[in-house]
Amino acid sequence: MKYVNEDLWQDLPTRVENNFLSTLIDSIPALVGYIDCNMILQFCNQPFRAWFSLDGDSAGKAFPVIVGAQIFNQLQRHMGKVLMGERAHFQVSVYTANDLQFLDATLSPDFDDRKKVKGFIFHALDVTEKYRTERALKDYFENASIGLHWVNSDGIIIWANPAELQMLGYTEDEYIGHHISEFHAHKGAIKDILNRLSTGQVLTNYEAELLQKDGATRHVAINSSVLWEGDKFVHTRCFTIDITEEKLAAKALSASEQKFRMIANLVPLILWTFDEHGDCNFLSVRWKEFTGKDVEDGLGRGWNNFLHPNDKENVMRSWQRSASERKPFEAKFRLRNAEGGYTSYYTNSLPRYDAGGNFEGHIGILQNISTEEQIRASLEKIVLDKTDDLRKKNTELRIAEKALLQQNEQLENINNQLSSFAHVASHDLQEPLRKIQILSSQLFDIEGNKFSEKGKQLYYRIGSCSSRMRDLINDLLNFSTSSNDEGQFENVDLNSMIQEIISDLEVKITDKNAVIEIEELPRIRAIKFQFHQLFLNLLNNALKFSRVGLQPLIVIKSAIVDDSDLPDHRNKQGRAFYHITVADNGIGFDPKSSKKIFEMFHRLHGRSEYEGTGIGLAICKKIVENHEGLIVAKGRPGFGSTFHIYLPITGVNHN
Amino acid sequence: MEALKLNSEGWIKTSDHVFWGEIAPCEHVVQIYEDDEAFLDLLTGFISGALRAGESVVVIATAMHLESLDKRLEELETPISRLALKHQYIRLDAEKTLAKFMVNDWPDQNLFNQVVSELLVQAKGNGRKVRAFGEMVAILWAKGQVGATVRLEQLWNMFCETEAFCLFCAYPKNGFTQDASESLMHICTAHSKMVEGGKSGKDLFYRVV
Repeated sequence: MKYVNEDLWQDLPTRVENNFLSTLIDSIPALVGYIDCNMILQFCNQPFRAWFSLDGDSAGKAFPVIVGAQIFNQLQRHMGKVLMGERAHFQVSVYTANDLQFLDATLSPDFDDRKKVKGFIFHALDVTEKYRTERALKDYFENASIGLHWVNSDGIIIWANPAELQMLGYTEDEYIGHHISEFHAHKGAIKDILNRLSTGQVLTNYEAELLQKDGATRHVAINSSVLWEGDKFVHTRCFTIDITEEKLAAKALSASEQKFRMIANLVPLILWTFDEHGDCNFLSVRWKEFTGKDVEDGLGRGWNNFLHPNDKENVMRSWQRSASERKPFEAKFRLRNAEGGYTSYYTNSLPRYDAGGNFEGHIGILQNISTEEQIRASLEKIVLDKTDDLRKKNTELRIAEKALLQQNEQLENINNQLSSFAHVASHDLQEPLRKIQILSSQLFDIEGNKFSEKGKQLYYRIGSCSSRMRDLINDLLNFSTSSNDEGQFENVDLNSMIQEIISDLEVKITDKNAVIEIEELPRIRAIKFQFHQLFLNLLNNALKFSRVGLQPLIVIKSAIVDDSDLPDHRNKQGRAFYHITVADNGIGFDPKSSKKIFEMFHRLHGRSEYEGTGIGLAICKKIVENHEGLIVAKGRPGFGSTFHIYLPITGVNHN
Repeated sequence: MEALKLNSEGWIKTSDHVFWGEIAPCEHVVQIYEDDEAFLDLLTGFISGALRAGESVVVIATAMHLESLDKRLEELETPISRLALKHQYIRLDAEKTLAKFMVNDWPDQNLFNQVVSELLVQAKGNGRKVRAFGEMVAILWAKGQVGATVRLEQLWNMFCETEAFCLFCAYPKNGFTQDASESLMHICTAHSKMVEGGKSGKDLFYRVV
């Protein structure tokens, strides 16, 4: 060491008498220097020289030059305090060529006899490594993803890292400086924690619930110990790990399992789960009910022992394949029941996986199907019996149908024969009848003058009878031809046809002074001669059954209706019909006879009152039906009659 | 002497005229001012009062403040040119003066004593009392050279003790941003009186440090 200011350091020789003190100061592991108020370095120790890369003789040099502007400017800020007689302690940072270095510096004033500051001692420790470590630690804790806080011996939080504040939602002011118990949901827990820590215990994964700022609770695992300085409790070091998600998940899982077990025990099935090795690890309580044995007896591979010996091999082989291939398993087998017998069961299962997609085994049901099996067998028997019955009935039906067809055929033959017979008979009858009429007429011409009155009457009666017989034969001939459905259908204009009929009946109409009103009639598809016969008969009847003293009035109308308007019970299909009416103001008839008048040879009046054969309306009915139509008569005695004819409209006959 | 009024914070109310009239030699007065007007008012009173009393004045200020001050003195019909010739009114640029004794950003005691001694010799002339205003400390303070500021104040104080002259310093208040209370305390304790206000003819508050 070298002392440059003898005035200032005149007493130093008494303080530093030998190299011992020099050696002692050099041995201090800190930078030590003495600077006067003019900023001249008076002396410094070896670490000081080493740190500032000084040569051996550095005393007397300007301190600002030695330490450099970076350090001196930082010292300046604290120098005022030192010059006023106070000690200043502060940290200095300096950028060197390679790195940032830190000094923990102290400036201590040195006073003269008048208590005036005459210089100061610079003392500094290189804390670069310590600072770096502290910074790294601080950075680590500040940026740690888990919460960390310190609590002093009074239970006051003295520090907390951002992760903890963020986890709970508090600001530093709302958290730090408060008692830790304010943030614990259970006061007993924090009391226990503090008690344990204060007695030197280390807490490992101590579970607690902390209160968030928003009032919610957060589950945490606390790992904590106390930093002791001798016997002094400095502060705790609590790592707070947020386990809320795990807790909630565990709670949900527990609730889910509980719910599953409850449901499993309620359903009338045996629910089971197998682990990934194919061992049964769960059976619902129905197992005991069904088998009479404890659930434990069926766990693991115990269920094998309940299988029917005949089913065992197949079931085991099938199950092993499903288990190893992680595929659904489905089987029917028999299990030994509580009574020692066997009951049929059906099982169905699916492989199950955890959230990570790892195979966990199978989950399935075991259903007692003995009742179903019995029902199925009964049903199968019923179906078989019914099928047999049906087969027999079908055979009978086919036989009956065949007989019916044969009968129809026979009937048709008979009908044809009858029709032919009627036709032939009518023709053959007409010939002798015409001869009778001709011969009797010749007889009357030749011998009529010789006839007595009685003979004349007989002659007239012969004529009358033969005329009636001719009419009867004609009507029978007409009736037989009207049933002939082989007639030619053609377009028929009813207006023209009615005019022709009126023309044929002109004499009769004139005699009766009848009025016939005809509205526009349709053009239809029909067998023409039959429809001519139909309207001829109806108009004839209208003229014939006119009322005495009343001018006959005949009205013929036509309209279009649908089948819902038809007075019969045929299947209504929304088909359109022509509704043709022939109404008169004649004598009418009793409504009770409205159906009978269409029967063959049915007469409502005596032959002496009204001539006729009783076949005309039967012919009309046959003709209309031959055209798939319907004819009905309505009337009242003294109020005329109306004949309603309904004819289906086809695309062809619709005008 | 006008009655002094003492308020609850220890501030004494007076007028600048009375304050500067009664100022004792060896007083080291400091003003922490909020605006230049207040500062220049008080400085003008400090100088004009001395000149009226036949004392000499040494003003070491920034160029801007020197210019403003000259105008004010001229408005008061102070013959500053004539007084300057007689070294009764010595005006120096603060930066230039600082450069004469600052070594490595630190006031060198010997150089300072030399510079100030020469000035005082000139100012005293034939035995005139001397008042000095120095703004160099404020410049150092503004640069953040706190230690150098306090050291310079101490050097002034030491000089005052031996040379017996009244010294006035002034700092802008906006310079006390860092560790204001502590810094202010250190500055204040280097002085004997602290002044607030100072507009000519208006009330002035001071307190003994």
